[in-house]
Amino acid sequence: MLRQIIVANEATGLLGPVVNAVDTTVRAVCALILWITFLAMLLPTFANAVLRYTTNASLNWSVEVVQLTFPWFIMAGAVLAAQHSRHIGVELLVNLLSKRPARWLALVVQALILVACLAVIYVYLGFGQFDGGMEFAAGDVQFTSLGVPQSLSYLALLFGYALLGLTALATAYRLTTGERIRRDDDPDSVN
Amino acid sequence: MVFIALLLLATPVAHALLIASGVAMISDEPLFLFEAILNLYQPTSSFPMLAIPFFILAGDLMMSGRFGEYLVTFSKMLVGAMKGGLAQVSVVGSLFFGGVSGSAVADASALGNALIPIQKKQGYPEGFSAAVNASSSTISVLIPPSIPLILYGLVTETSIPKLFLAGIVPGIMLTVLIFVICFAIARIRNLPSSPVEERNRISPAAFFDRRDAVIIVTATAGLFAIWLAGWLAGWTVLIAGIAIALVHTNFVSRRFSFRKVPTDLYKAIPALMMPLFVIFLARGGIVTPTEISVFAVVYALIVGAFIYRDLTLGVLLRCVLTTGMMTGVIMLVIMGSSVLQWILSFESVPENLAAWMLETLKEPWAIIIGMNLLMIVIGTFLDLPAAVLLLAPIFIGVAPSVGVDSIQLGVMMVVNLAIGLYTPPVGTTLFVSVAIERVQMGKVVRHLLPFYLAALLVLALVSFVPGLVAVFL
Repeated sequence: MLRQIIVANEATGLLGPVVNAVDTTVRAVCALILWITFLAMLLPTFANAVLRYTTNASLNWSVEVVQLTFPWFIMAGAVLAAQHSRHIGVELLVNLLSKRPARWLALVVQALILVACLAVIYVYLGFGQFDGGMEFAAGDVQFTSLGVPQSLSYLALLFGYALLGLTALATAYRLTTGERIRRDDDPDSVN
Repeated sequence: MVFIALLLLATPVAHALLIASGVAMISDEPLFLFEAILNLYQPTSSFPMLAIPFFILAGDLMMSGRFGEYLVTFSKMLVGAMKGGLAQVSVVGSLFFGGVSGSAVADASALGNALIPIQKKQGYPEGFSAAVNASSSTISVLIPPSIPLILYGLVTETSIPKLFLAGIVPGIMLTVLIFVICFAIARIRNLPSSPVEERNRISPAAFFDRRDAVIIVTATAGLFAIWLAGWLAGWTVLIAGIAIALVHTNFVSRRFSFRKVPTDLYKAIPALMMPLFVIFLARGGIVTPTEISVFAVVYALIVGAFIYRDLTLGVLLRCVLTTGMMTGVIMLVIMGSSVLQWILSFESVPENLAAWMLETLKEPWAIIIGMNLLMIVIGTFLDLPAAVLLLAPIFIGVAPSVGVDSIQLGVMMVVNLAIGLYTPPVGTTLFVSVAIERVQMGKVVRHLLPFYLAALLVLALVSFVPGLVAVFL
């Protein structure tokens, strides 16, 4: 099961083993996060809904659990999707180009993604003229019922964009060492 | 401008949105950056958004089991015996699949894999089966649960249950139109009917003769008249009609008995119940979309584990991963667009656009056509979810001024953008179907022409007849 997801498009060259290892780890971590957060979202929400309609009681913490875990679910999913190059884009131009320029274009796109990710991380961490960007965003606010700082859920953003950037780097490396990016054949796209 | 350039370079939409926002903000004060990050984060902690992964998962779970197989068998029983039966099966099947998955692409691949190879073997014209599959699978985005309608509801803060109910009539109209086209083409080209196993062969004549049919139809028409007069809720007509048919054939004419029904038909029932279940909960009005979606997941789990007994832990784990990926893809676009929207509304772009459109096009009908044209163009190049997320926030500002309410706009948008799923150069259901039939795209597109007309007709009706979406509301 896990293997299926973790099958990496082998990278070659000097850094090949490192890149492959990074990709494998990223995928495994994301899969794990997806499974855990999924359970953490489904069970309380279901329990809460059932309780609400049967006994009129409600679990205050169930919404908070979702707020805490949903960002992690999303970011892990987004990173995994990036690993399988599933993100939605307009592929008109790439399809028109022949192989070599298409690869250059793909490289440029990876660089752009990296820039976007770095920008998010930069602002998030509040480098430069701002101190403590994270405290600014999350404050020291805690989830009232859970007693966990809310910054834990914001952290998913940092985690996600860092891994998205890492994935872009790995993909770029694979592009330069000549391995074709495999776009998964199965059409499980979104609609 | 930056955004369009980035898109043409095949930058993923989500990142393109971020970069475009970043460029737009460069000149602004640094404090805004923090607010931008907050806007990026906001959708991820939104409780209603949770409906997205859960509905995707419910569909995924059902499609990965044997639901699909039973639905195809069921559709074959209904329409397989007609000329060109398999084409009809993929049309009717799309309607049923739509009630399970709410994703056109999942539909196109599930039905396509089951039906296109057989059609090819039976000598259907080259490209025809792919064309039917590509176009009919888009019906599913109008039948509840529908992922694009959920997305629209979330970004425009429109009631999702109401959107679901509003999508039903256009969805059924599209089904009927495509069905009629297939029927006509099958007659003209004399296409073979579909092979049905002996035990699944049923004909209506076994259950009622013409006199029975007249009685049932008259009674249901009577109920329909009462509904028109406003004394009955719309859905009770449907249920009462079925009840009359059952009672009459069981006890009066005594032609029908449940034992005559092939067992494969019963197996399709849990899957067929899914959309009714969603509609029932939505109609009830006491549950939020997120809760409906959670119930849908639990329903899919129970049916898979205890009724069909084909749900394993491995399947569940894999489904969670694919759902996670799809959610990640969609949410990343939502997050990016939430930042861009924040900037746009800061500069009051939607208001300006609305004012500009009103000023230049003046007539409401011209504006509606203008919106539709823009949507068709965008829909041709961009995948459905991304297009909804981009256009909905802009158009929601324009629509009220031309007498289109947010629910009608949502259905209009989904009908319109769904056409883009099977228009070249990029269309997901088209790609999937072409890949399954292994033909050249050009050959498929030739067969698609009548289906475009059908979809455009439904689009025109939805755009200019507001009552159409309000039937079940």
